[in-house]
Amino acid sequence: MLIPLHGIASRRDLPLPFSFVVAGAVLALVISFAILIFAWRTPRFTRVGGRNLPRLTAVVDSRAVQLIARALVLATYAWAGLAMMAGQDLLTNPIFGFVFVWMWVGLVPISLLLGQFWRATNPLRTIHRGLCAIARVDPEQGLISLAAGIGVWPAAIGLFGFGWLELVQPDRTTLAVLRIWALAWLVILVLGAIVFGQRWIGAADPFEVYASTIAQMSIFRRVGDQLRLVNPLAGLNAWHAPPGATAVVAALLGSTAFDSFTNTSWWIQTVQNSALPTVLWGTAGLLTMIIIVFVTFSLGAAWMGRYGDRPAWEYPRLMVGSLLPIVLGYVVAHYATLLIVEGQRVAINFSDPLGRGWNTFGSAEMGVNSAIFNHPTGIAVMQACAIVGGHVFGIICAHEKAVALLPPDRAVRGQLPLLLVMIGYTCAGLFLLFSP
Amino acid sequence: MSRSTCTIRGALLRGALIWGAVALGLLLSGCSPTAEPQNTASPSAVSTPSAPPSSPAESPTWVPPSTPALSSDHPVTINIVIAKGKTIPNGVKIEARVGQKVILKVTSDADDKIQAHTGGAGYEMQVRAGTPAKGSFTLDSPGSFKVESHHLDKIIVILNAR
Repeated sequence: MLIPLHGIASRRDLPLPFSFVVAGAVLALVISFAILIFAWRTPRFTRVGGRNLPRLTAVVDSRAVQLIARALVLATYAWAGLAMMAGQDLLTNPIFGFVFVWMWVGLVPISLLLGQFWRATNPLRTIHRGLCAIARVDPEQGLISLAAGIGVWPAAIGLFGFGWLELVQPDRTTLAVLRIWALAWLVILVLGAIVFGQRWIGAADPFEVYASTIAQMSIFRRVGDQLRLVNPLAGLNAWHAPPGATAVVAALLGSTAFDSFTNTSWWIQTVQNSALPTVLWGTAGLLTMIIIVFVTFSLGAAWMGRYGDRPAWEYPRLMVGSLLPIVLGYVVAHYATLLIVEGQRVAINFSDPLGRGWNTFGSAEMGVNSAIFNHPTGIAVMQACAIVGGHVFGIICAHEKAVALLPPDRAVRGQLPLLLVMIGYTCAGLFLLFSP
Repeated sequence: MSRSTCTIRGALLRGALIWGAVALGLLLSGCSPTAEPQNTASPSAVSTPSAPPSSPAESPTWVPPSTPALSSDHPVTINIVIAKGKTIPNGVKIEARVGQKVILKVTSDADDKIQAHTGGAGYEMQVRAGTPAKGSFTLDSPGSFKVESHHLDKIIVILNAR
């Protein structure tokens, strides 16, 4: 198989038909204003609600189950690590797909279906716990306590780093490059956890922070010490976003948008005609996208400060949950086919990490079922529905928060700029999938 | 509900409708011309893209494919010129049909490998400096595929096979 110069998949989804872009944008506009004008005026999700799951909680919290889950996940990473350290420098090495497809894209469905599973089984936490057990140190205890204001800011930088690796880093599908990044990730996170205590991993691991952010939309949510089956909208509404959450969401939305943007003819022609290095264009473009999202969202949310009784700078963090459905819609539209098709290839190659013809898990002989590509219209419908659906749920969340935070007669006016910003993201998302 | 809320709501409703109509109008008027070269099933879709204006003046201009691309009966021919570190065409999108044959005619001033990532095994052709080369492959399934110069690490065309 030929190694594509950019990314790991040799095929991208076809551009979204323009009629889908127009229909999606019109639908997003109409529904947004309909919700703004006709929807409820008093908060509906004041409590998380849902149903307690005492038996499931007991199983999940039992020591044996936790140990087994952590050991299994750690073993999976160790196996992938074997492929990275001793495998062949070919695209048939499962490590590339493991990182860019299974971890990066796979964490989204895992977190939606299983809630905070990633955090509970994060191999970095397992390694750190093991080291602490050997050294007889309490894992929570570090040398320096991390200031509360740090929040998830380090993870926002980490997410920019991963976005850069995925979209800008030259030769990213070579072992030499990937090993450096993996080493940096492991050392920064584990050393940091020793210095600051385990809380560092929840503040700085881009994968865990991404996963636990997405898990806010899961049907499973822990309330107190009980797991509950909840309405995802009510669960998301109950999320207390940590400091830096806006930057995390901007990094996720911005890097996904940049991925599409680099596929437009304008970008390809401009970069390829330019005398400046491609890496410089890529870095500047990725940063610009993230900053655009961060600034527009922050300004749109801060506008609510004119109508509410809190200082303006508090609103972006209070409102950031309403961007998560939009992030989810973007991710589904961009990476669903990648996960379905390339995810299978990883499963096949995972049986043979060193390229020696092993068939450890019995998957080596399986073929990739890429029948989904024979339904381009179905894929386009799915993409448009994901973007517009994410938008509608985002608007619902924003409206709920706005009526909870602002006086009733001002809630509509206060949320209008944010609504326009969100419509902008959705139209931009659709237009980028049209990929002119 | 108080009366003041009602009036505010009425004013907002009007404002929102006006803004909605304006935005919709802008969207439709601003964007539809862009759509035509991409979506209409006419041979012009292939010949529309011309050589980029910023390419060096001494470089030959890109000759558009000679046959209608949007019928799987005829092959689509892409004339590629690689000179002084640049490719012509340069990152152009071409509409094609599943089952269509794609013919690449390449002239390069350096040894190169042209790669087409067509989903499965892909297609690769070697090009010698100064010697015109010709190769072909068939688009077996729908998707968006890149044809790249491996030596320059540049995208020559993107084939959108429907």
